[in-house]
Amino acid sequence: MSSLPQKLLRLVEAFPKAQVLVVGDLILDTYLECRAVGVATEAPVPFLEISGQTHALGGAANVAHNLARLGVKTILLGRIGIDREGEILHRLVEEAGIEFYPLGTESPTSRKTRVQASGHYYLRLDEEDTTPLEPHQIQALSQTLSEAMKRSQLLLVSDYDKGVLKNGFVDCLESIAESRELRIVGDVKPQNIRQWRSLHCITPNLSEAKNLYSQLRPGSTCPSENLELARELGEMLSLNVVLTLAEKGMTVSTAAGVSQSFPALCAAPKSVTGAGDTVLATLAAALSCKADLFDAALLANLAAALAVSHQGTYAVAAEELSRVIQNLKTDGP
Amino acid sequence: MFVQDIVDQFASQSILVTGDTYLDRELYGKVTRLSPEAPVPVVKINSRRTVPGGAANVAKNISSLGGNAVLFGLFGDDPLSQEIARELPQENIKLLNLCPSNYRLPEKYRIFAANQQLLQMFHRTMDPAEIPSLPPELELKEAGEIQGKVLVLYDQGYGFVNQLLIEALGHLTKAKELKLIVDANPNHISWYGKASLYTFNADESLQAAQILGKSARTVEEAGDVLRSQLDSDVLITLGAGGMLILEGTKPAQKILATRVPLADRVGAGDSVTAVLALCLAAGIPLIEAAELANKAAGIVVAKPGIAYVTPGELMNLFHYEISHLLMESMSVKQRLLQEQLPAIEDLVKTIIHTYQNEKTVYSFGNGGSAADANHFITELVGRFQVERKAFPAVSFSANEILMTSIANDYGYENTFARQVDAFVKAGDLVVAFSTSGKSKNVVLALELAKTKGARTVGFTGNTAGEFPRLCDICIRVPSDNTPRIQESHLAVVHIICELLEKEFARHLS
Repeated sequence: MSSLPQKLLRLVEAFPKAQVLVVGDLILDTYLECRAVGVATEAPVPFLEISGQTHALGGAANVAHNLARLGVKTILLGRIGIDREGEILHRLVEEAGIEFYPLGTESPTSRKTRVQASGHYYLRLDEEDTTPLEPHQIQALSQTLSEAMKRSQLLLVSDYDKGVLKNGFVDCLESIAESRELRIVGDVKPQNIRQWRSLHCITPNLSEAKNLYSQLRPGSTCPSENLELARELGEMLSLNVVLTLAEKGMTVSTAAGVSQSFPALCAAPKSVTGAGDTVLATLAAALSCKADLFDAALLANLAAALAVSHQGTYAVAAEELSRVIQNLKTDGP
Repeated sequence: MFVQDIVDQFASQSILVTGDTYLDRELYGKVTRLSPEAPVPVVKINSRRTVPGGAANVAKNISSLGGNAVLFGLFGDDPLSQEIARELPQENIKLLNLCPSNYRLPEKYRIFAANQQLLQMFHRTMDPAEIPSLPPELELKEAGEIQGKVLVLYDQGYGFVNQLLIEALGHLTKAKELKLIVDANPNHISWYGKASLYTFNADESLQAAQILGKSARTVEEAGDVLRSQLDSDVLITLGAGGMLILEGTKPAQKILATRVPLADRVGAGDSVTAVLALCLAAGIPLIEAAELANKAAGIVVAKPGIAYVTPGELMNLFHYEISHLLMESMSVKQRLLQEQLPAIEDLVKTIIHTYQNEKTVYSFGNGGSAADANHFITELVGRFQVERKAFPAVSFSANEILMTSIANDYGYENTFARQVDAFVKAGDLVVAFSTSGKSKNVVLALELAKTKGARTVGFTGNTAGEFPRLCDICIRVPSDNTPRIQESHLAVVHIICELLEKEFARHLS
């Protein structure tokens, strides 16, 4: 057997030995299954009866879920509200086998509720509080962070712009990571990129990348070639860029400007929801096992293909990934 | 009977309320984008409001109107029931739990964005089969001590109301001589017996008639079917159409809704039920009760979301209409400012020149316009605000002796022209008031004035009639509403007088 699939398999096998700390915006994804009863009496709007609800981990919690399913020892830190949604999120995180350090707050747990009736998605209700963490809250977390980072090989930050990864807290994370010599990999919103000094790698999608470019070079036209875009971003920010391109696959560029593109491997994707989380988690898992950036991206690309072949958000398991690698031809994808 | 007298009696009434109680949850948010997953709106919720709904909302309305409510039903140990149990006593509502149980209250959600309702959802937390049944003889020991005269049954079909309950309530109302009002559910129509009053909305009435297998093409027909089936008085709410009352064997009577700026209809039905209950308890005849309930509905639909009515609001019979009319007047004046400023400026300058040249001002009009002309002349000859010499001015609408005499001899259309002929000279200013610009006697007078070399000014409305042709200056109020036009005419008259006086006062030693 050739070295590439073997190398990748060994990486996946090494996952259970790795530990990653995930910090970011926790979201509870709720799906309300409803039955249409008729038109409301006082307004020309649908009147639906809720017949069931399911919950899933979202945001940074979904990234952590993906890591756990890949077999990586995962620690998750984020904020939840003192409410029913917070309890549900807590339960789901623990059921996924993730070590959880929640910061409980008066603000509501961030949630996205999707209302569905007869198979049709009707509306989404989002509830969140995006105030940044207070200094006393950051203080309360710093000891846990320091201890968790001591045990981890990588810090993963998942920014959904819900207020956690901002200002003082970002400084706190970076300084502890620096003292522990821990690399930071993250999905950071373009408007928040300037908060960070020492990111090792980011995973923007195309629109986020374009947004980033126009922020860093206002007035200039964005490169039309994705490879060019990834390279310029990497050079401007001095970090590695994994640019995800949905049906066009992904393009990776190091801070030094070395780049490579990977085609999308799923011919008929069912749903792209949550695929970005899968990419980030797989990338982080591989990097925490000392993988080369391009091997890590290759693995992430394989995982993404698996994720999008499922309906809705899907966390890829280590065994599935291993099976896919074994089916690869010797001369690689 | 005066509204005040009716409303004053509310405070001494005790009303028993039962039926479907649930939690009404209103979620308010903003929509700025679609979901990346499908072209559906993403509503970002920024505030929530939870209030007790259904029978509990009727109880709250009763309490808001000054009455005493006793709400009884099934309240469990769940957080939702606890929320209700905590809130209600603070509002003078006594709560009776018929049997503490594992019953969980249903929840109703309303989603609002940009003041519009987007969706309603209902969460029936328990299977109807799981709902504990009540003992056949309802022993409301505590209720027995309360002097209640009316029992309201609120049946939304959410599971609390079943045949057993209806039977038990029948016994209770007979034993305690209570008047029963039912906010009815069409699906349960065959379970209901005789009561003091049944209420339905228009759709429910048609549905109920259909379920009874009787054909009813209109709400009136449905009402007759229902009143005969139930052997009771029936009231049908018609939204913006008002209400239909079917009392005894009398022909159906309709009450029109009050014209209001509609926010939404949420909870209006419950306010209606509360007012009816309080009125019936006070022995008020059904029609008067319905008129007051109709008024309450008008107040509630002008408020967004679930809202209540206070006795004070009910007694402000005309507040809404008064505000509306004053605002209408203000908006006409605003449009006048935007459109007629140059013309008014022109008129001020013209009247100043008229008096600088020692000429005379003549004015006339019919009816309200005659009063305006007279008002104008009075300010000029007598005094507006400042001490100055008297300005020469005459009203041709002030002398009824002269007018009746001219009209009698020459016809009414010559009443002003004959006076123009007698008095107006070249260089004089002739000011005509006519909201339509078409009054024959005004038009003829203006024509003659022009031939005599006078300057003509017309105060008119949007239609303007002959005035643009006949008047050197035309103050054309942008409205077709006669009273609104006249209100603006008077404002301009006052402006002219003020600026004219200021100008002359400036030049006095």
